[in-house]
Amino acid sequence: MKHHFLDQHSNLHSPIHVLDPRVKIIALFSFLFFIIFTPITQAPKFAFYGALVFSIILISRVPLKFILKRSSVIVPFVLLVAVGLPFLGGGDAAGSYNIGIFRITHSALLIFLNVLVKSWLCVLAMIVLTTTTPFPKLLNGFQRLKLPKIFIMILSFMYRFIFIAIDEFGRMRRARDARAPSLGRIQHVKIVGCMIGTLFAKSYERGERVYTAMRSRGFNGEIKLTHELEFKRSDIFFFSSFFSLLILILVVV
Amino acid sequence: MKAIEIKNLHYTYPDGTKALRGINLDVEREESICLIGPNGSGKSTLLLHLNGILQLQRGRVRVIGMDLRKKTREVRSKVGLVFQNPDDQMFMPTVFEDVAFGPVNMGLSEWEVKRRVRKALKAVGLERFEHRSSHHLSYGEKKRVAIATVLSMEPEILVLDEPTLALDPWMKKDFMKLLKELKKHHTMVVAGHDLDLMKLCNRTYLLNDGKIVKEIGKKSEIFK
Repeated sequence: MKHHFLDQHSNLHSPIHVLDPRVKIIALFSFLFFIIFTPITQAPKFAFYGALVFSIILISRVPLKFILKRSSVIVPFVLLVAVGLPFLGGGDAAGSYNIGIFRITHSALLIFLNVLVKSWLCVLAMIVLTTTTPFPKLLNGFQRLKLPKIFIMILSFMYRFIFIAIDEFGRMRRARDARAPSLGRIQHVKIVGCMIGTLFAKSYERGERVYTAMRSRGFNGEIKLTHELEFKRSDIFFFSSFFSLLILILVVV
Repeated sequence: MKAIEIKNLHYTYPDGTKALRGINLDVEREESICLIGPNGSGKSTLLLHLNGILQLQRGRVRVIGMDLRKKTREVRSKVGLVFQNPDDQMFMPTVFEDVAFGPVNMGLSEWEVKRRVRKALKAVGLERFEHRSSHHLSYGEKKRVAIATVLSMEPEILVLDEPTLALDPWMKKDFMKLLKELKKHHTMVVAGHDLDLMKLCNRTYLLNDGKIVKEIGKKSEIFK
């Protein structure tokens, strides 16, 4: 079976795709830093940050619809904050809005906007990074930026074996459907529980076999990884212009 | 000096299953041996001993004159073990990293690692696969990469567990050709149910219930 949900657009050809992953990672983190530390009251700055992200999306040729759809992951978090709104903020009566028996203050609304705008922009930027960089390259970038090796190994195993676990689950589901086509909801949930348990047991056993394969190829607990990345002129150009734009937005707008 | 010498090898799993009950086997250098037997006859357990993955309980194993108990690390660099399921053997995100895993662990230089990866992938006919993701390969390609992952360690002895399992007839034909080619430069021990593997080897042994029952000359002798 083929899976595309991680690397669907990461092999397109665009000026953003060819950048060194390290440059993209550092650019992302500086962007997050700027976003987080800009007060929400300075609305024009956020408009410019947004314009910056969207222009990068356009250059990357990744379909905008795809990125917007993915950014919907923030919805549950934003909703969670929205539920708490009537209980947030000080008693600023002058700027309050009434919805039924609830009274929402001006400062509570600002908190809501803070969460909504900042998290959406941050998530958009993260999606741009992950959709324009093949996952192995992204790991390589993090590795070169000295992320602890154990995290890299965990991530790389996850990337390698998540697809196998999904295939395994798919096969179990087919076997279930073939033998029990019409199940009630409760029975269905019970069986899914068993399937997840089986998947854990199978993954554990696979883990043992993989470890055996690693040992037989000289693994003795110390993780050594290969890396082959080089900075290009385009990387330096991208990073310096991106960073200057961020400073410009901070100072001028 | 013999490639492999096994004397009176016994092995019992922690759950009490007696997998090997006194195996004696000698393999000469550049010879190829086939182990045939039903499921649970002890083939895989025997193969795991050749690489020091299972610890010796009783008996003696020498690989290229080295005692397995004393020189496990050296033995592992001389014996390339290819597992039944390629998904167990390939655990890195890209083909390059997978094939490079062994040489990197051997502490070789980056240049030498790259040279070995290219050579190993060429040997299995997958020259342009270096940057492919392991999970995007077909089953036949995975099988070949699994062999490349041990070839890159440049082992003297190749040990293959069920190499033709789950391959279609066309893929199997190609794969047998590849094994024939590898046989020319390696001592080879192959285990499986596939009787066609016998054609590849100088000698074939029938295993049953943890023992070598007899040496087989022709396919028809197996079922007697």
